[in-house]
Amino acid sequence: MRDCKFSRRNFLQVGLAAGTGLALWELYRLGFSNQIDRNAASLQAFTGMGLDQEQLRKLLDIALEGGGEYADIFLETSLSSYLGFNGEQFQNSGLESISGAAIRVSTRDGTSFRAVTDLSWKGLTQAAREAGAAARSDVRLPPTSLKPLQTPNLYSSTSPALFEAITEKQQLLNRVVESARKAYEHASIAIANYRDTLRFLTVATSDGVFAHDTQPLLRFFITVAAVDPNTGKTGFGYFNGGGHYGLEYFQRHTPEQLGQRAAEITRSQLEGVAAPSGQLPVVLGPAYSGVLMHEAVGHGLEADVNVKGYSAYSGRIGELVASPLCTIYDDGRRENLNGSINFDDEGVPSSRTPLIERGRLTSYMHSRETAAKMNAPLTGNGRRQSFSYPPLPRMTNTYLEKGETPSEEIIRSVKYGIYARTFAGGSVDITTGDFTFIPTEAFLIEKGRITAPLNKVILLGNGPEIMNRLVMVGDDLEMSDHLWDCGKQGQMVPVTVGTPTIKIETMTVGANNG
Amino acid sequence: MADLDLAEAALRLCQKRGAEQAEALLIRHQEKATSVFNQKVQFSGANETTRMIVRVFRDHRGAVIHGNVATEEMLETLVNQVIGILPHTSQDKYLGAAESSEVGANGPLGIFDERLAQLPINQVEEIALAAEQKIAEHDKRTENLITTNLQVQTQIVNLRTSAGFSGSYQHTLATLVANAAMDQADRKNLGTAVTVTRSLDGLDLNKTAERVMQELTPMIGTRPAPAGEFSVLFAPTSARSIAAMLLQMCSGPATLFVETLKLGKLNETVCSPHLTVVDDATKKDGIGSAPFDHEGVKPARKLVIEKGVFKDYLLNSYYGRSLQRGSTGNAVATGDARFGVRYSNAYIEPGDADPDDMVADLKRGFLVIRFLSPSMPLSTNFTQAATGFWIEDGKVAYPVRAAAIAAPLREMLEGVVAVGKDLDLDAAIGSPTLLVNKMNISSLM
Repeated sequence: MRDCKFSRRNFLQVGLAAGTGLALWELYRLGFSNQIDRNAASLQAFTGMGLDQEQLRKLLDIALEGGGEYADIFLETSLSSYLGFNGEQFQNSGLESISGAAIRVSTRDGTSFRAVTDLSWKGLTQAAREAGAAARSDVRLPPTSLKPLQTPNLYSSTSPALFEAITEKQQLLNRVVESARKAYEHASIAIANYRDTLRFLTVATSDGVFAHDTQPLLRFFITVAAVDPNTGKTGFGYFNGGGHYGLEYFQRHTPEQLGQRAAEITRSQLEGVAAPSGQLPVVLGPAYSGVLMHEAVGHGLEADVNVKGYSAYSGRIGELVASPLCTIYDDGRRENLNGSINFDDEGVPSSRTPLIERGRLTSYMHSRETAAKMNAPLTGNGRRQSFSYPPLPRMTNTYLEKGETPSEEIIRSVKYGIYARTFAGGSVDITTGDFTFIPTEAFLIEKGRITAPLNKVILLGNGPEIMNRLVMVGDDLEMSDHLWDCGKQGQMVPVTVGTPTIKIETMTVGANNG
Repeated sequence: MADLDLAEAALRLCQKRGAEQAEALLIRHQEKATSVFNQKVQFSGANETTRMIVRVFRDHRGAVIHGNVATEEMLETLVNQVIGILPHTSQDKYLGAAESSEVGANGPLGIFDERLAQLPINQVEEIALAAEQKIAEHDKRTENLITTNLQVQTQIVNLRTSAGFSGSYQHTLATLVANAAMDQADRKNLGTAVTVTRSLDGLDLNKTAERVMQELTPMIGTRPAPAGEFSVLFAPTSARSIAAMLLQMCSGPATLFVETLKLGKLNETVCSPHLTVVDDATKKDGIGSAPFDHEGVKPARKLVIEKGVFKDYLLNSYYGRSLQRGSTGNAVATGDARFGVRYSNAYIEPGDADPDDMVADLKRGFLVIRFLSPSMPLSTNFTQAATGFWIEDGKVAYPVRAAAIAAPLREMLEGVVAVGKDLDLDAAIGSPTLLVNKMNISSLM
């Protein structure tokens, strides 16, 4: 460690004791000015945000004073830097910090929750007392001693992007924008936005879990608009990327490749022809099309909606709910992906959970609360946007397992249909299972060949029905390095999707001109 | 130190560190929330957060910093960091705080209810339980399948700017979300109603229950809509998304894209002459009302689109300067030193058509109740999935679970041929029923 002026003692003195989160800014100053090692060892000063195990146990004890079967404490502090570039000016440079704590007490009947930004001992004990008082239970399970949770680290970055020089980030954005402009002669606007975050989490639970995580996150977004002066046609496209990476992300996906992809999507929108509409065979390309698994299946398998019996998949464990070609996993353990987590926000290690195996429904995704209600094993899916929100069952990285058919063969099998490659997102009605998703790049398939790009298309389906119409699965599984943020009950969490090339026998295609 | 004094101290420190202009915005947020299922309180929570936003300008450069704790000790760190970013930003002649001639505040707007702010958490739970009970009383088939979530928020907003503005206000907001499921024929159906209000008295549980039932009961015997080009009626519940799209087109940050994509220009026709769009931050009890925006500018009621003609932008001071106009008081603090723009209480003005007559006059068409797909960035095309009812000979023929509706955006906006008189501005955005003469429909089978 180089001249490390930042220690646990410093932290206690300037951070928690002042109740201000100042230590985080001090860390930023030291990291940014290269005065500390940027590896995880020096960041360990944030373990417990200055609270030792005994103090955390004391807080849990206070929370359970009035009764309750379970309590946990979630501590979060994070710092983000961001900037934007329009090809001429760096427009939105800034920093953002979040520090707070949440205390939760569960009884057989329900859960009480308190979230605060006052991190003084007085503030925390008051929050613990309030959470406990609201829980109201005759049963009391006292907290056990805390044991550190050991999990493999899924974030391989050794240097958080937060500490890298602004000029380096500016150069990367410059390259992204320049390559987008160069890649398409009609591109008239190209704007890139960038954000990195370093997030420290600590979870302590009354059943003895003490877990600490340091999550680096990186995300960028490029938007391109184009006009063809000859035809007057216009096009608009965007592309994004990121995950648990440092700036090494831009070695895996160079700024030039990223800019070019945004330009290609814009070109396909501008030069696209009117799409056919109606019931058509649809081939979905690898990686990004995994949004189908996310919308059509994943949301309906989050356990909270199944506890209430709201989902189209409720009460159907063990039933055939999809084509036997379908095996779908939710896997929070894939290295660096946007949805990967060492453990969830309830201190449960993430896992690779088979949701559907050869068409048969095998598991829902659980938080601690839903697993207890359904008497099911924990799956590590209890996630929250920040300390301000209670955890809910949420997806991590959801994907369809690969099959055996080469992707070329799948495309060759379609006489007239749609090939969709990248997507803007989607949504689902979890009760009916009806879902939609919107391709940003789609093409016509004619006589087994991909031909013309198509203008804006929308795909509609019903989850259980479509998953039974899945007739071919490719051998080319890819996880998307695209950036996905999943929204539920007002909370956004990062996720990833994946799939090999697949063919849906028929699907509803909506477009401008039938 | 009082909040406004903290903001003042931040401002002075920014100026001491060399900022030519600066603003300090301090927002204290309190929230109580509960979730009820099967007559049991499943979740009961409270949340207190503080957000300090400091924006500085020097030499036509700008930077902003957000911190969710605000104490005197923190100020120096925040200010040093944000000043440190300034040299890394680009010069932009339009960057800067609002002009001193623009700042000011509207009088009382009725957006704070002391009774709602002081409501203890056990009463929040009781209201959510009572809402669930009301829904079950409407239809016993929903029993054991009802969830109600009630969230009560109180915010205190404090702003101090180098243009001489100093102001604070508090506002309350209650959001009641009720869901009820019901087994219908071969599938389940879910009805959802959202009630948003500034006051305790605005929580009308009967109305919430009626809305849930309206969403639930008609969805028996769904069939696919015919494919092809038909008229489309947008009920107020879906038409508000069209109002939001029009507002987005007229907002400062979208100008470049809107003009590039040839969607419209100021003083030109951008949509049907039947459409007039208003943004009014001064509406009493309005969900989007505020005495001043995040730059300290006093907003006024404005006609954004008048009879189809784009008349006024939604602007903050940056976009106001870049378009050689003043701010319209629509600034919202973001991580961008230019800040963003948002509408306040925005709506399409009601027309004179009776919504029942609009259905009765329709030979064949689709009545859209709700969009299924997420809202997308502005584009030259409008393509969405929706649920609603098929209309034949002026009557509801059957419900349609999901259909894609599509048209080039300009054609759709210009194709609005009738506007209902049924505007009920119960959210920050609203619209009466709209009739579009022709869109492409392809339905889920």
